[in-house]
Amino acid sequence: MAAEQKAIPVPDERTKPYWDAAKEHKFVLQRCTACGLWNATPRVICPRCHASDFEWAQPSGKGIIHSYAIVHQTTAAGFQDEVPYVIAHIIPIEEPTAFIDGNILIDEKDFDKLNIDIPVEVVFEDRGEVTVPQWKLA
Amino acid sequence: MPFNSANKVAITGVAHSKLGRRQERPIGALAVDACLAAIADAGLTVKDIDGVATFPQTTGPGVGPEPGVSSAPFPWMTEGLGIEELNWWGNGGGNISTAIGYGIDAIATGRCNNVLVWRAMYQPRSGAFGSGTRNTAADAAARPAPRASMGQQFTAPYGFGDAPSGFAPAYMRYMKQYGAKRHHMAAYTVELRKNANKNPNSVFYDQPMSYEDYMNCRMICDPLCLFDCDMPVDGAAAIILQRADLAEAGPQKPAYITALGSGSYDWRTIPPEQWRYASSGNIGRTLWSSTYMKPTDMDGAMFYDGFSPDVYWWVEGMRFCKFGEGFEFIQDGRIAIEGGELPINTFGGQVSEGRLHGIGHWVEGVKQTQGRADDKPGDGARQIKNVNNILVCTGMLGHGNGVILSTEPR
Repeated sequence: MAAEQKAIPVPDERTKPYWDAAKEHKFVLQRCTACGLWNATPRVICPRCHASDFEWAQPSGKGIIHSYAIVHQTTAAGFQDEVPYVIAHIIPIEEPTAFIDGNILIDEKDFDKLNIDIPVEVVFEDRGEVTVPQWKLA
Repeated sequence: MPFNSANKVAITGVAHSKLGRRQERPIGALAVDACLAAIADAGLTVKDIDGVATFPQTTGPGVGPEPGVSSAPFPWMTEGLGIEELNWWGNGGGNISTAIGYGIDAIATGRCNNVLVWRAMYQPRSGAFGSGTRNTAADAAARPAPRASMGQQFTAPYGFGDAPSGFAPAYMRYMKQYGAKRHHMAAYTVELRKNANKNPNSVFYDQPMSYEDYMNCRMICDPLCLFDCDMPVDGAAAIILQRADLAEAGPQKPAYITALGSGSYDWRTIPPEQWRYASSGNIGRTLWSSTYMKPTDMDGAMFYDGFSPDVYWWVEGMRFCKFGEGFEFIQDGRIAIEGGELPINTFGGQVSEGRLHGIGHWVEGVKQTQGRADDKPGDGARQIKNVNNILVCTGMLGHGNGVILSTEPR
């Protein structure tokens, strides 16, 4: 099965700005207008200050790999031919409580360069009708 | 905080259904098998059961939860068992241990006397826990791209989705942070397979596993290999919680609940690795503060093992060693039944007995406490010598409970 079988994100009212920005190769995150907390994915209430007003803002696009793994066998749609590939939890440098799921785009011959707590930066992968934020070693 | 319900509740009857891969018998029938056997084991009849509890989550999203056929939910089970009247029921939580916790509270507060708890697990027939944004083995070739909404829109497009991809990064971080290697885990997986080889009900009863077998095993989601994952089965198990004075009048030795602790949540935690400390660390904090007993008073432990690295979070979170030392703690025979300071998962755990989502740990904890863990009484295969207290902890990712089971009130 091919890459065109990969799951396609379906934006909703709360997540549309994220995917619209990605389409323009911009990485944005939702942010609390009261206390400035960055949210990895949209929230309806701020867990730190309990405000419920948010804005979309553009962080630096730099982060660190909190953790990662190398997928060799998967049921994830469209990924069976991509193994081995790298999944990772990225923490943006602006917000230690946020974690973002993504792939580290890296050749198999470079897997030994992977580690925890090393810097990465956002890149964009165009997949036809959608563009998804991704990460590469900085 | 003292545990005011200490010694007021005991577990008496326990039973498994037959466990196996893709059994013909429907899962509801297996669940009824286990429940009726546990009720009889406690010397009771269905009419004596005045409370029931389960954790109803089906095996996986998309596994048609057809009551009786591929799931055994409440209230379907009340009909399957022929129950006519209950004083209390609980249906939920995050793991079977939370349902058990509710049952302990219900008895201790006088709402009921004899609580039946079951958990039934169904193995997907497609060959994989496929659905939604996942491909099953059968439909992997032909389906169009699935649409990922809600939380899945941030994970499925990246090839996350099955359980190993959710848990492997936590193990990777642990290994990198503390220097644990795969060979350290062999001390757990190989030991548990030995235990399963002494447990006729386990799916791996007839299959030994050597150190080399483990080290050469194929990777699923590096660092998790196939033998680090628990083994899906069709099966069920059940336990009977009783008011202590009633338990004392029955045919089994009561396994008294003498301490209880619960997992917790912390919005700042980074899943998945810190969630695990949120479970194990908080169960440890609350359990040890509920009792005068100490980790060194434990004669064995049953720790949830959906994936083998769970054992590190458990031995650390439950204060058997410092954080980051779990992979060293389990070495040198320390967790072995014979001569081990803390035998762990003496039935083989989920990685070697089968994936019963925690209830298997409770059944074994009770049997060890009652001195009847050997398949043939007195054969010395699995029974830990001179048991006074067994620790049972199941759950992960925030939820879960742990208890101490004791041979006498403490």
